[in-house]
Amino acid sequence: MRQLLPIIDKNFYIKGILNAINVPGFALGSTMIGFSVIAKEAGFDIWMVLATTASVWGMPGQVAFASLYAVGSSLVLIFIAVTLANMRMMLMVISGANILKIKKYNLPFWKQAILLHVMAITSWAQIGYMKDKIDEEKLLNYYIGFSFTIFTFGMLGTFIGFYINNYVSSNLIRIFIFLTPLYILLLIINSKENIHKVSVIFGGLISIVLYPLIGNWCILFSGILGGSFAILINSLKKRIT
Amino acid sequence: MEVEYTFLQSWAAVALACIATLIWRLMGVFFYNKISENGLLIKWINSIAYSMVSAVMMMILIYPTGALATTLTEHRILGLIIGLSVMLIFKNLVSAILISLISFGVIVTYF
Repeated sequence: MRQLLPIIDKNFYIKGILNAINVPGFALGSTMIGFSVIAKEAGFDIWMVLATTASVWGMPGQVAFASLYAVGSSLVLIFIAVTLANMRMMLMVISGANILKIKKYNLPFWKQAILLHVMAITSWAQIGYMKDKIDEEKLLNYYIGFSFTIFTFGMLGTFIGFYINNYVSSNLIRIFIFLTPLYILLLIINSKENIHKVSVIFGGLISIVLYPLIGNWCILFSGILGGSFAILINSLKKRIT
Repeated sequence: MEVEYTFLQSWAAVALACIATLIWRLMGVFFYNKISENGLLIKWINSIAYSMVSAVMMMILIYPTGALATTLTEHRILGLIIGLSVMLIFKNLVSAILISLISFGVIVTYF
């Protein structure tokens, strides 16, 4: 039987799994526990919560969906809000596919789509961090192991979150939810390339200023402004040296 | 809470949320296959992706919803600063995360 996905080096596939069964897996699982709590309060049943996590697989879009569902918004409004909240995914997918150099594997479009469907911010940040530590041709194997394990943790977190709310203290839940933004920010600021460090700093700072003015649009605008500033500074620096 | 959706409407909402995500991911795959791997455009997109992810995470930290919204902004910022400082000093990601998480836990529980 032909392999569904290109597993070439099992060692790196397993390394990806093991790295995921660590801080990233628990961080993402905790984040999904948090989402599940919100979704349950909004009126979702367990199957709807699981289907949302599996198909949307992006916290801002999921939270936008649950928040609008909670107040009985129209389906059109839900569609528009989730579409806008997930706009960033296109750029993350392009960037992630570029880090993985997916083109060279000559995969059909649907296989690329499956591989990139399971790309969460956590797995994108992880491959960005690991790309300098692992050979280019092993990175895809690592990513497959890592991202599918993360996905499993996310689904488990969603399932557990739906039922544990009554048994675990809210203090513990909020401490665990703090883990995801902390982990990802530390990962991306740790990037080897200065241009990316500058992008992280600009993007983060601009978003804080813009959010009170333009709400969730700040994510898109902070990204474009921060990324463009970083490119500009990098090219100016190159001209000077 | 009173839910105003029928069974079918609820699942239609889930399907629409799924499509709203799928569109962007598929467009990402499509455009990735159309652009050069090493050109300026992909460098720009990568920089934007880093900035956007940073923005999403800062939104969760500074303007959170759900359980995290019950903590004080100063406490969350302090937790992040501790994490960044430990990482700058010790150059170790796991230590930075652990120390930051423990500090945040202590701060939100006792202060």
